[in-house]
Amino acid sequence: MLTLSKKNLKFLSHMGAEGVLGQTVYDMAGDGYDFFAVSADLGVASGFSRFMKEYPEHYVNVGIAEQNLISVAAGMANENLPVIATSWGAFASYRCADQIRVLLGLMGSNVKIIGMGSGMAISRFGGSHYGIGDIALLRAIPGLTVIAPSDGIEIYYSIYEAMRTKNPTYIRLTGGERLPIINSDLQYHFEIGKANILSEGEDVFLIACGSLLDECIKAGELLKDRGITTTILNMHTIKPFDTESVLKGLNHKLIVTVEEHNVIGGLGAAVAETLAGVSERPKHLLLGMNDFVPKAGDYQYLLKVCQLSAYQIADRIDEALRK
Amino acid sequence: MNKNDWIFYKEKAKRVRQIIVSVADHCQEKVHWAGSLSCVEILISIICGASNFAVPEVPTGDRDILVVSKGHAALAQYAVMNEAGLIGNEFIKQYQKNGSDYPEELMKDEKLRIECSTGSLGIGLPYAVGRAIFAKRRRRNQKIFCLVGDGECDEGSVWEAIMLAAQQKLNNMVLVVDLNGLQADGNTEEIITWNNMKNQMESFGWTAVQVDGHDFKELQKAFQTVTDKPLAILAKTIKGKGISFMEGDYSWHDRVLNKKLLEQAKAEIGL
Repeated sequence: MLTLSKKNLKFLSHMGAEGVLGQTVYDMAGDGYDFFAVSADLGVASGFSRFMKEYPEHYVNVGIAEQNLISVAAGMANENLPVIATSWGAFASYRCADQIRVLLGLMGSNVKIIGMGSGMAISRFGGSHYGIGDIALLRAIPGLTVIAPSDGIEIYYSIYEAMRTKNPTYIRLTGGERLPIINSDLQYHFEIGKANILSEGEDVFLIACGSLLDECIKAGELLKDRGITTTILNMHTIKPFDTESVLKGLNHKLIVTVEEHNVIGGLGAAVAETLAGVSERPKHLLLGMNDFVPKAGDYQYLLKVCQLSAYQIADRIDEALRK
Repeated sequence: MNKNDWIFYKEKAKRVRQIIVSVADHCQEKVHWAGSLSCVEILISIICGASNFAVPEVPTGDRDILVVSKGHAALAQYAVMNEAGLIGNEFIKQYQKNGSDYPEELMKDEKLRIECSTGSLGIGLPYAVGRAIFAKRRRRNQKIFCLVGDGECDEGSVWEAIMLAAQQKLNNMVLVVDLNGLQADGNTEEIITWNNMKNQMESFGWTAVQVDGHDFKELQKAFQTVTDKPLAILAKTIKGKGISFMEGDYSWHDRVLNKKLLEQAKAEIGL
């Protein structure tokens, strides 16, 4: 397992999300963890090249068959033997939702699904490849853990942590080849279900997950220039949901959620569900994709179309504070 | 197997059908009668014959695995396991009751050796293939049996699993298809036709044998097939077998057996 150092943070960031996935799986095998990895013909895209070559007995390619991917992975797993199953997030969730519901949710099979390139990470491929509803779909499945790591070290740690539990888990990768460094603190600690505070402020309480936190941090800096201070919460685990951390936002002027996901059913909805039971609370601004799928383009273009670039986030928060 | 053994197995099948019907004394709800009655001989052949499923002491890891992918045949599995002494008579009263361990569709239950939650069709076979890959990779001396329905073969995921099993050379895998010819809405042939499932399975890289799924002798011979490929046993059966008014009537896929018809059914199966 990689140690936490400035060099390694940089190293992981350069690898991109799927590169980090491959590195993690390779390191876990090297560390002597017993597991299988299964992919629906995306072994290379999962960064598994070295792993497949050195540990062929631990790898299965089920072919381009995502439903089979989940069922076969569940069949291979047992409580002492986790199985990692990889495909693009859009396919690994929607295409096989029923298999996930039954074999993972209902039966508790020890499978860790890695939804790669989720959000709009595979930006140029267009809507068929955007994972903008996987959080909504999967967090509604009883028994499933859902994690949305934000950068290289968090992907690395979240996979290690998920593999140490017996819980069926979905890990949503965003960021693609452009991984930011969100967690630069060398005291960084990752615990499933415990959100991390990235910065503290008094006016705005911003909750986000995934690589989009990079835009949020920049938005926080833009707001600071305008005299508005922001607490930023990295809600890396969507389920179990850290309601305690959300409630820390009650003493701010505005609660904001930002997600690279449909505003319906995602992180914002989970926060709204938490706030619904509180009588005295600040307004909640939900930022995300407003129930539409943008036409393909480069990532920065897509962020602008969805009004999720740092400037737009800052402006929308500023506007909401004035209302 | 000698002549007395056949009588022994036929007696078992008779008792299993009696157990199946007897749940209607306590359950006046819809039950998947016909699809359970069609696979009685198949499940007896697996649980009490071809596998070590019911053998009391088997070393850890050597226990054969059965996945009944047509989860609506739960009643047949409970009844055969009851006959084999693996579950108690209490299941007859508890079947379908609130919070019971014996629902209408199979739910994973380690204690009951129910391997997989099925009923959402097309899930059990790929799960069984995963089990078989695990057994191969870890050099386990266990066989993986899976029962699917012919209607279930409409599910594309069944064929994903069939292709993968051949690719992975899973000669520890035995698939039985309950070819009862009927599904919820009518004749299987009129819905999705299997022109020749034997040819279809062989073209997918399996060894396939076709048998009369109510004939223990043919079933036993089929299970003993020696092959280095995954084995498919295509068992031609009668849906609703043993109860005249259910046989060949697709409406008995899932229906209430009322008191009047229950008496007739009981008479026909010797209760």
